[in-house]
Amino acid sequence: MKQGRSIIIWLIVAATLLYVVSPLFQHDRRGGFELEKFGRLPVLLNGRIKPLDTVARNSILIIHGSQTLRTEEGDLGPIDWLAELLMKQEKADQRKVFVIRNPETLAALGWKPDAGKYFSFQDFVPHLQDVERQAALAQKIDAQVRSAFQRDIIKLFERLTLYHRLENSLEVTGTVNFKSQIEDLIKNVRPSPVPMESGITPEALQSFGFLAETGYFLPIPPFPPSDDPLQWRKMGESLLSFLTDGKMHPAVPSYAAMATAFAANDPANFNHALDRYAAELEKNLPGRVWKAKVESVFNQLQPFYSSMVIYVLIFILACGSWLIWPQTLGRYAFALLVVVFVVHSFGLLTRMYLEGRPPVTNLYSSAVFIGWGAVFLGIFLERFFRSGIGSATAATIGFITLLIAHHLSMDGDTMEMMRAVLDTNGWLATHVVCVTLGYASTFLAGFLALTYIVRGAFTPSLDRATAQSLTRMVYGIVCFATLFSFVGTILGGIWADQSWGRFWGWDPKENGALLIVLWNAIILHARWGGLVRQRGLMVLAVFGNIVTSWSWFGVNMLGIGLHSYGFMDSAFPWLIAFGASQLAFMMIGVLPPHTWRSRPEAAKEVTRREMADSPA
Amino acid sequence: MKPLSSTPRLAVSLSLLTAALLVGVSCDQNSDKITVYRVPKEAPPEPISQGAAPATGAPVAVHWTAPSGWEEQPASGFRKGSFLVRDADGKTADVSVISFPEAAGGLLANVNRWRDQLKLAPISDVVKAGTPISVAGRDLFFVDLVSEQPIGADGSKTRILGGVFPSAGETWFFKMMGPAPLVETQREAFKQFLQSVHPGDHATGEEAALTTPAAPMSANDGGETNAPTPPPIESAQGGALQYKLPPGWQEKPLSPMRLASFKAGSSDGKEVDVSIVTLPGMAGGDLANVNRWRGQVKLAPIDEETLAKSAEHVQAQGHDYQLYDLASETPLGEKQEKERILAAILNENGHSWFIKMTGEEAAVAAQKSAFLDFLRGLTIP
Amino acid sequence: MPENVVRPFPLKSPLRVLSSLRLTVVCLGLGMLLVFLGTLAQVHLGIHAVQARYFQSLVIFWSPPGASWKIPILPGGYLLGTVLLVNLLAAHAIRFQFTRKKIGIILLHLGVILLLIGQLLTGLFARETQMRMDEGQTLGYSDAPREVELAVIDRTDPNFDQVVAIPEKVLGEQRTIQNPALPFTLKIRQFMPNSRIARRSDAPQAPPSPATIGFGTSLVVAEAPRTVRDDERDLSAAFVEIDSTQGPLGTWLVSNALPNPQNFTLDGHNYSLVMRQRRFYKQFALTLLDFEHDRYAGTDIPKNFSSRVRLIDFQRGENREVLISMNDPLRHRGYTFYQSGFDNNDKTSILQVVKNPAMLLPYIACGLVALGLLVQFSMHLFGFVKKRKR
Repeated sequence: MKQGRSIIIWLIVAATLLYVVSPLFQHDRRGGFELEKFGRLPVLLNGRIKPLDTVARNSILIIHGSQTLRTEEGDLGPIDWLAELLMKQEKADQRKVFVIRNPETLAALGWKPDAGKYFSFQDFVPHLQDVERQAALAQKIDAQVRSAFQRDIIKLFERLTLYHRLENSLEVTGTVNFKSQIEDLIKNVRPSPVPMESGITPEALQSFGFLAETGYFLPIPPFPPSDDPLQWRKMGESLLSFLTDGKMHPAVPSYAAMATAFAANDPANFNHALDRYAAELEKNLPGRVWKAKVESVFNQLQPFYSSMVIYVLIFILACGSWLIWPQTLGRYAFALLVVVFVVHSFGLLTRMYLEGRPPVTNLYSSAVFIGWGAVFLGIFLERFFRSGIGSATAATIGFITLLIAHHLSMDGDTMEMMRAVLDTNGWLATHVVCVTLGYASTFLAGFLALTYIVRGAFTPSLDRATAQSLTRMVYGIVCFATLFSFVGTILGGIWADQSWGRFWGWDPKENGALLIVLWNAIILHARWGGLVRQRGLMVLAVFGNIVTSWSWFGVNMLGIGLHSYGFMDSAFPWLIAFGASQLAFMMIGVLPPHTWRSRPEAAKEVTRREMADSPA
Repeated sequence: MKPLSSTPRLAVSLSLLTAALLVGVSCDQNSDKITVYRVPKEAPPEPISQGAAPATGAPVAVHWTAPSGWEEQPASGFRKGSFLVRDADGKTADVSVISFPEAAGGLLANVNRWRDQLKLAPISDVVKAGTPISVAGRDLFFVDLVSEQPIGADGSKTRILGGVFPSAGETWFFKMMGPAPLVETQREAFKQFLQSVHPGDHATGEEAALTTPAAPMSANDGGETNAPTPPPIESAQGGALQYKLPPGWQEKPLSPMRLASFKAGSSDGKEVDVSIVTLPGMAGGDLANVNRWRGQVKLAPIDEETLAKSAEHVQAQGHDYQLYDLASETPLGEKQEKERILAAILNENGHSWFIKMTGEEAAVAAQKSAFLDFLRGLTIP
Repeated sequence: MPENVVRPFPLKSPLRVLSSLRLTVVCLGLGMLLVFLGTLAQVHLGIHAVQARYFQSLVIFWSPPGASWKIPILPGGYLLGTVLLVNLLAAHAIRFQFTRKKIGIILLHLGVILLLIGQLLTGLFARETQMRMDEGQTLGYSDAPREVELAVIDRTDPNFDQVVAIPEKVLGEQRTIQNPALPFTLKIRQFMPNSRIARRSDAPQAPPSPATIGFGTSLVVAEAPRTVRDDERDLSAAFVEIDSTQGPLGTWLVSNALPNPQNFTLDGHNYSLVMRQRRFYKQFALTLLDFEHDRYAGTDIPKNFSSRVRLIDFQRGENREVLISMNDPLRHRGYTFYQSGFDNNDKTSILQVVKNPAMLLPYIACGLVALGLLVQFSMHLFGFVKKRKR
């Protein structure tokens, strides 16, 4: 019997792991082009060397809002779409990749509301100046007071600009035979310190200048043996420097050959040129190629996506364990929690390896890390209490934070370079990690308290023992939260003192962290002073969710201060809704005991127990 | 309830600490008193670093004064300055000012480049290349070269006068190139031009302050405010061009090199392509462009004289377009069709405008009148 | 032990109220409210005004728009901090016992006390100024970015200038100033903390200028509200009348927007009047040798800023080169120089100069609090685990 159970658990674990790695086996050679391999070519963008696959994923998320583009010829994945945009622009320009949902934006472009919401670049061509003009008008308004239309038109303009820049990264849009152009160039140009006098036609010179100016990413690596990131070049820059020094980087003709073969729908030549270029890169920049490969495998695996699916499964299993088969389902949930923790950690560690940074570097990674921290603590709770509560709560937080992270990734690359003052791994590893663990544990305490209130008020399942163990959990986690947020906040102060001579500047983000510390201190003091009992503790802990979400997200929406990450208008209503829901739960928490379906507290006894716990 | 003796002691020592710190720091305060002190002399006027007036901050510009009679052309592309010098016969010499970062390949390489343009053999001794002259306290290298064979369109020899001027990490090249007799007469004017070259200086003081009422503080809190906001991404579009589409013409997606582009179909389903391109300056001269187009339809190159004869003139909205109609003599390309190029060139305001229709011969012929209508309705910005 | 536990209405002795946990919780709650409101207010008031009004004050007042009266609505940062401090000290004096079990709690609270004292001292005595230096420039002073002064400089001596510096606060009183170092009085006719200045030729309708002499006569000055933005600075202006024993010499316009001084001569002495950011001279000087601004490849994202400076301190016989970079300041004579900004195409470096006598306290406090929390919670955790094991 026992053996049978453990076999089932191992089967579940194995099936889950299989699900996690399954994306790696989906090979797809669209039309014979080795686009997966193309997606692994490293390029430099925003200071980081990354595979084209990452460029494709981030760009399509920004421009289209999702990772797949549905067309009549079937779905286009990120790299399929990018390859077309880079090398077969006329076709790409007809793809309905832009989404407009704002009716005012439609009207500004002279389109009727029933024109649909999907548009191609070609649709925009006659209206580009209108978009630019409207966006320029909106830009003059302060970010905080822009209307929905103004924000939308600015975003649209940025998306169009990004599209236009991407399109002109390898060759000028509409170039017919880039390969023969480059061959002619190599044959006919006499290098001269003054590019104009190298014998090039003014049109070609202007087109190179245009490529250098407009191109989005830097595809041309340094001449071997250099591996200096500062030596990467845009296509146009590389061509212009060829005119003066006569040194043609082999990547240029390689990309030209790929582009021409792709446009001519010639997979054999495309793959040939790609293979040759990839082999050469492998020889010259093995380290960069390896990292690009790791990153594209990471992209393909999408560990955070599969984690989200498993979190849902865990939540269902754990809730089920409170109704039927508490032992069995609870054990399954716990096994899955360990598995998902491994997957989540794999994602986190891979990101750390790729970035060469501690886990938290921006808002996106803080979301990933909060989920991770909550699950980590959840595993400990579950290990001690074995009640399914730890699993369910941790899975909920894991799921929500990864969902938030997913939405944050819509803004572009989630692995950004750190601005000067943040460029110190020491402080990132201590202050930021501590503060983020403080967030994670405060959320965990809050969600445990939610479990208490929901189970107590709506189900009869909250018996005295469960209630007491929940109280211990919340109390313990609040202590933990106080420790990390306090130490983290003070470390932040010391960092600030080291960096710009001010221990505390009342900056919004600092204040946010302080609020969490204060709130946790209030919970502890109120409990030590006997001002709250079991339910009071729960209600206070739920308010911790509001405080934490405020300092995590709310202060960023103020759009001021050193720490502001930009204005996240779309998240604002969600934040309000979350706060309101937490207030509602707090109200339920303070309803008179007889309205609850469970009776977790027997007043006298609990008070005495609490006294014994309190340190004062 | 008996307090241990250590706690009051603790409190007392803490208050002592506080008091000591208070006393220690209050000595430093001179907060709102008038103070009198002596400081070493500072050169008046006050340094602009004092605050309000932000320094103009451009990389050190180089200024010059052109001799009278030179026609200034708009600076563009690589050219920081551009002039046209005419003589009585209408012959022209071109004066250009170009700057490149750092040494731009060395003095000798540059002189040899110029020699190459005049079909002169390269030299290896820099001393023979020219003479150093002093301008504004700096050395400027003066070069005078003349071709041995006549290479100009009018059968004259070509002459180059050049000046190479290093300034603040950049090298500036001043060059006059044209028919030898004309350039010869301009020699003194060119030298005078070189003498006028001087590195620029910043505007200071009152003027600068007045133009910036709320002086931005470029940084105050450190941290992320250190980061300059990234420059806005350049726009994709050029100036406003207005036109009326002839019937049957359709807009084509903009390509970055083109200001506008259209297609028009003829009855037999063959399409012609119409493009409007503008380039700064003379864009290599009409002759070079027409000969390039002639090359596209496999016609032999022509000379200046024939060019002038082959041009039709189209007057529209006060502009004088030169129209060239070039048709291939033999079938070309994969489709083995005869091709034709109809191109109108306008040189105005320092820009060259090319309005060009290309396509299969019959299709272009069918659209020629529409093309001329289009030209007449075109408003050049 | 039981009689120490807080009773529902512990009004019996004031000391007991002062030491109660209830007071702690109330203070912490008010503190949260204060911090929250202070954060929100930054959107409209700017961080500097908020600091002064919310955090470095005893009471926060509110007045309805347009009304002249005001009501106190919240205790300010100083008041709350002080009450918390007293509450803590009282609680420790009365209730806590010095046992091994309590050592974590005591360390922790000692840390909090030091932190509060440190912040109080910083708020009162720390001074932040800036040094803005072009490459090659030597400066022996720093200036206050948000405060101006009127400097009356006697330039007669060929070797040194004698400066009479009148701070903004005194100018704001708009009175007549007499100083033993000056053979004349200065009458501050008008002082505008922030202003807009335009050419008179651009505003022909403007009323006549109070200025009677100097370039002020050709300019129009209008008072403006003080800026709340972090990235702007006020352009202060004043009309100053000079009155000597021989009668008034005239009224000059001075402003920190106009860096050129107004000059006049009296009794063979050459004087300059100039309004400038308030200066604090040091006993040493810095020369900016080189400023570096590294960016990430292919972007404008700054990677590092650094200034190579030469520090010359004659009194102490020091003359050395120092590299100041992000996260790596220079400390000298109680001043700390931080890389703060740059300008002018990376040819100008801006250093933040901070003098904070309480600088060390947060470090000690941090150590104590971390230690205390660690001791306390690990005792809890071990106890808990032990209990579960049994």
